Amino acid sequence: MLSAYLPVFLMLLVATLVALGMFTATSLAGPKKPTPEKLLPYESGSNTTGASHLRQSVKFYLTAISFVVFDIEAAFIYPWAALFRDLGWVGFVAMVIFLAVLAITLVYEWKKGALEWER
Amino acid sequence: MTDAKFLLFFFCAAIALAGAIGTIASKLPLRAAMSLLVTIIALAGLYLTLDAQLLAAIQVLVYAGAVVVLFVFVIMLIGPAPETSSAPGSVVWRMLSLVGIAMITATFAFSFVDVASTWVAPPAGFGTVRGVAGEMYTKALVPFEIVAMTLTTAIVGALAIARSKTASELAEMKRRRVAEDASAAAQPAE
Repeated sequence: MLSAYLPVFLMLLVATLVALGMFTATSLAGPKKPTPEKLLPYESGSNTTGASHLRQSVKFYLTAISFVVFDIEAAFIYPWAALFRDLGWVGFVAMVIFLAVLAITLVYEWKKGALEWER
Repeated sequence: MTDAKFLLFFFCAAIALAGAIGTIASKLPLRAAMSLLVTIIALAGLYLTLDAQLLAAIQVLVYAGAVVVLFVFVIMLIGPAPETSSAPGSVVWRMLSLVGIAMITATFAFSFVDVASTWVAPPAGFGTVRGVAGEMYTKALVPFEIVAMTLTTAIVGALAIARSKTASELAEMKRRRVAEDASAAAQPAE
């Protein structure tokens, strides 16, 4: 069973090695002649203004939580669809109730204006 | 457990522990979130050793793909500045937390000793998509429906925090803004 996942582990390993190798190679092979100007934070050639970290609008959070919720919904539909014929009407009705509740959630979100970016 | 599974278990367990320590020890919230990501991916590997293939995939898709992103958004919302006041707790609190950790460890250890002799190999197709679906959509329908309610709660809570306006409130705001613009235009400029 586990040998079927060997390619996945190999890919993870190669990806990690490539990322680490790139960082190591650039720091080893790149020329380093630091001057005070070079060590300044770069912001399109002009002097930096304000803090480097800015607060994000709460609209991003609303979008993110909507994504998580409907992502989980999709994750539940996938195993149900794989066994759709064997589950029969009971499984169908169960999924219809599940989807109906989340459809109400979507309508609520819509009516509250959470899907609008400008408000 | 075969040897390969055994190796994978210890490999993933070590990475998960390292990520967990990084999560609580890191002073920068973003670094803590990235350490949590490491833990979550290592947990997916642990699920693989337990024959829970679908759960491992869902773990990567939902937790690594969505929940960590949500955490990063929350960090960005409240500002990613590091915690400045990390005053060390008093001796009493440290002792109490050590006692708490010992009690939790003992509880888990004793319950594992209790069930260790009754563990049997999982049936064929245990953690596959069809295996999980067969169990979940026949024997666990009520928890499945409760998931929908829980997800609804998450949306309602997020909207309550973000204080979105209703359609009528939006119309009211627009009407007020138009009225203000009109009155500003009516007054002669000084």
